[in-house]
Amino acid sequence: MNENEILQQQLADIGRRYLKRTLGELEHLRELVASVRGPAGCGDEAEAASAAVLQQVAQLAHQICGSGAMFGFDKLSEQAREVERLAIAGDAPSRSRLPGAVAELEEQALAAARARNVE
Amino acid sequence: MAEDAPQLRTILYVDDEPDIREVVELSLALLPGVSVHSCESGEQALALLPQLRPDLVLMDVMMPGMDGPTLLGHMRERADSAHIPILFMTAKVLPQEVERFHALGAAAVIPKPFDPMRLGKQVLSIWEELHRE
Repeated sequence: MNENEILQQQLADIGRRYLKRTLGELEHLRELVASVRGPAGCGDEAEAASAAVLQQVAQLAHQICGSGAMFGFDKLSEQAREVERLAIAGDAPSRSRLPGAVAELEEQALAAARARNVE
Repeated sequence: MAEDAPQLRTILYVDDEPDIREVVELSLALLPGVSVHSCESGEQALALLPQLRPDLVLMDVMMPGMDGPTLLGHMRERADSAHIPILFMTAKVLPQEVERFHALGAAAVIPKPFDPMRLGKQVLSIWEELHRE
């Protein structure tokens, strides 16, 4: 194999590792989203806690989005960007859409994992 | 490499995402004679600069804690790093955002996602262009 072929093989291996790790991270993401108190404006302390959780959600989604695009998982990356967008927006309608968006993200990740034979 | 460009020897890449650091290291390792180092934060980069003395620093823009523009600002304030060309790698590539990055002092902006198979040539081309000016 030449250098480029070796690099392509290495990239494919990293991509599979990324998918495997992402499936685990999505479980954590689901738990974070479930802990967000909504709607916005339900008391200072609860709101501060929710804002902190939403920031974690946005950061995790951003990482999944960036790496996903790198490895060619475009639909996964787009859906992660949507989760990030909703978490950053943080208003009541966005919060109510988050669980569904994360569920869709999990579907995309599972589909990508199946396509690449990642368990 | 262009005759008038000095040899590119050391590159530092800064990004909080480990997969992307690994991909960048592998991609740039294909450049002949170049050693590639990476770290996960602006704080780590600032600590590494004196020992690595990189010829070029590539960095992500959006990082938790110290972001790319802030790291650039710190590097410009230090005698040991003020001269080092900085390339931003970012998904934020709207024209006004790219203009802002150049105004801050970035030598170039490489859009994310990037093609790992072409990244080395892109970086080399930028390096040569910088030394043609």
